[in-house]
Amino acid sequence: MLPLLYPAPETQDALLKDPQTAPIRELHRELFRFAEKFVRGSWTTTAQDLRRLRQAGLSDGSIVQWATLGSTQSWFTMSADGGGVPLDGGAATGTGVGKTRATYGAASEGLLAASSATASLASASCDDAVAWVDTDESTDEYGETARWAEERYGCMPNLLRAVSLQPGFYRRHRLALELLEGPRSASLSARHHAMIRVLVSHLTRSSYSEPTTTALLLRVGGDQDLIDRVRAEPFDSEWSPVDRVVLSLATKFARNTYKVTAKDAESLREVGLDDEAYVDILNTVSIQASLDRLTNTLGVQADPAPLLPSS
Amino acid sequence: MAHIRIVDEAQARGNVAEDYAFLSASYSKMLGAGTPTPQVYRTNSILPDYFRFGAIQNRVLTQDGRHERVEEPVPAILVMFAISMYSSCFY
Repeated sequence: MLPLLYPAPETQDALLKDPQTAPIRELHRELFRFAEKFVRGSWTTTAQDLRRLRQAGLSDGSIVQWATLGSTQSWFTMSADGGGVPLDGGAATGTGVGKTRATYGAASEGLLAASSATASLASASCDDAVAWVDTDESTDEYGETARWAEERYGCMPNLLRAVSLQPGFYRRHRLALELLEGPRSASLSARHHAMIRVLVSHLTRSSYSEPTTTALLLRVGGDQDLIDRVRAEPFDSEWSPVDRVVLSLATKFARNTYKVTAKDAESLREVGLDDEAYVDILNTVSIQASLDRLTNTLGVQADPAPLLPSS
Repeated sequence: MAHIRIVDEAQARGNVAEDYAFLSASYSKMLGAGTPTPQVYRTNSILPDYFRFGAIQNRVLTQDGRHERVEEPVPAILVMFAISMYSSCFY
């Protein structure tokens, strides 16, 4: 464990027990409220939540930074737990957070929560046509990204406009969008890849992503019946064995990555898929979920059309 | 033991080798000693595009490995700790 990188051990223990009673600054307490909602139910975020952060002294740039870091770290946590990687020998990055597996064993069950709060998201007042945060379109990075997006999608996505106060992360978001356009291995089909995206955007209640993920599945040969079936779990015997394993694994990655074991990787091999497909599924889930949490949290409004490359 | 096959530094070629070198250098600068690429990145080493994604994220988080100190109301590492905590991240 590296105390230089994370809170001191005694503070970690207090945080793991209850951040609301831990001996930390009030703004840090707000961060832990923010993080809990970001991970467990980003779709319940409202404009009022962001107003509360501003009242606590946070600028819109810092709010976007928290959401962007949250999105990035979401990928790291899913990648680590989904891959089953061991702690580093020197604890270069791994820390006492491992204790949370026991302490917070039900954390990501939040994705199972009832979606009643989705209504509050949809009805929350929107102060801006793009998102609940300010934007800055004057930076060089914004201009470069806008040109890239215009060429690729025919417009600048609201997602990328909404995060313009943290332009240093554009490289990350652009690559994330590119990677979501199709499978990166020969062993995962375009149909499975698109089905996984539909599934994840449904689980995250992402009103921003759903038009794109459903359009993608239609583009690769799916139909409305397939979209409806993907959204209606469980994945029972009406599905082929390979469909069932792929969708079940994707669901587990999205909801309870910390529960993934070597048996899950073996289940994929048993239906004829390989480790490359496993990594492809894991990343499709983790990148999609990371962007969905980001757009849910910032209240990003839907784009005029699905976000698919024009070619 | 990871659940899946990985490509290590000795087997890596092309972009994966470049990204391994960058990540090791970035963590070595942060920790002040020779540090191998952390395990979390290795999960993706059999698909270079995703391995690159991990490296790009380290680049944006560290200003391309320079690790310049940035004034922030809340340290970025605390934000990431909070997200990991609620993710029940075993790593």
